[in-house]
Amino acid sequence: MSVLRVHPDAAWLEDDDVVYAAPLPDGPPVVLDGPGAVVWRAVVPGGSLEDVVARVAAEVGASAEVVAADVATFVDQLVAGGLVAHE
Amino acid sequence: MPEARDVPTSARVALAHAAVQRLADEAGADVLHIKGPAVAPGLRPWASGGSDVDVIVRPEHLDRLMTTLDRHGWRTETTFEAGSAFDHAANLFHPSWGLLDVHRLYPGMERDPSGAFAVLWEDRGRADIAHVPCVVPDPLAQSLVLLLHAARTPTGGEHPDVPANWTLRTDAEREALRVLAARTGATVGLAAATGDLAAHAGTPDAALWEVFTGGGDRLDEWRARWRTARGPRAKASVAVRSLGVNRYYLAQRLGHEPSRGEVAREALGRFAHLGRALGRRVAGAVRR
Repeated sequence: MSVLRVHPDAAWLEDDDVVYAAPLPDGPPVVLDGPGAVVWRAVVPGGSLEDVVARVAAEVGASAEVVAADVATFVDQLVAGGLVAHE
Repeated sequence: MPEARDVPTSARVALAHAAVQRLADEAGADVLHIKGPAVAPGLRPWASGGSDVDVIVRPEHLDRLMTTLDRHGWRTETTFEAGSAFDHAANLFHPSWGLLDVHRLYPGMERDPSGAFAVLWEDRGRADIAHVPCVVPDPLAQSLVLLLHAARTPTGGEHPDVPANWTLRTDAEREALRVLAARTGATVGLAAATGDLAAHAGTPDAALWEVFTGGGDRLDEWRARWRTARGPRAKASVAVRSLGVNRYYLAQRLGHEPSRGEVAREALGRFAHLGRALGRRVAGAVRR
């Protein structure tokens, strides 16, 4: 099973519950707020997609089944954007 | 995902530091990040995160860094020769990251840029900026950099960087700063920052700092640069550039790319400005 982590070639910071992240070295930076920031924070410790889904579900107070599809879609976007990597 | 336009300046600058460190690594170039988020906590309590990225590059690594930056979309806006009285920094722009100042030497340490960089590099540290380890001078050297910057930034009073980096430091730390300044050729610059420039009056090194601390006019700056420049070639370069037009800054002021005519008018204006400063000196001498 692959593990999701912040991409080693990504920079990021969080300010006031908003995440600013960028693929290095060329960017562009992106803004992750609201649910996007929740998913990012769930990815930061690393883990499987199921781990990430479980963290998001706990954070928003919903069941894993309810959020799983949206989280998976968003994680795919983060991977495509060079911000998250599968290990 | 929203893109760069929504990123506040402080966040963009932090991310840009990380990007520049990554490109320096790619180029095999030693760089030291200064100012903004690279500054150690407590050394600049009054300041925000800054509006651009500043790095000092080991002079021997300058070409490889600039080549790599260019390959990754950084556009040179102001060359080293056009930038300032010290010829010290080039200004670059990247659509994702904004502005970057690459210092090939640090003003005040210009006598031996390679030697000064080597001294700063010896005690380097790391600062995590946007979760990327960036190479920074040690806190004492950061204080020296900030004080040298303060010395050439007139504020009409004490620069806000002086208390934390000099006045409030211990005697032992101030002595260590003097030793570091001596090792990096920055003794006169440090004196300018700490109000002790009179001790160096009459030396060529003091001339340019006197302009900054004393609020001299453009003619003063030109004469000081002339005195400070080493050798006829450097002096000729000073003479030409003192009347040159910085197209980037002109474009910023005009709000559009300057036409040939606007550049020419600006050059004439600068010549006239220098002439007026010279005229005031002559008139003053006649009155005396």
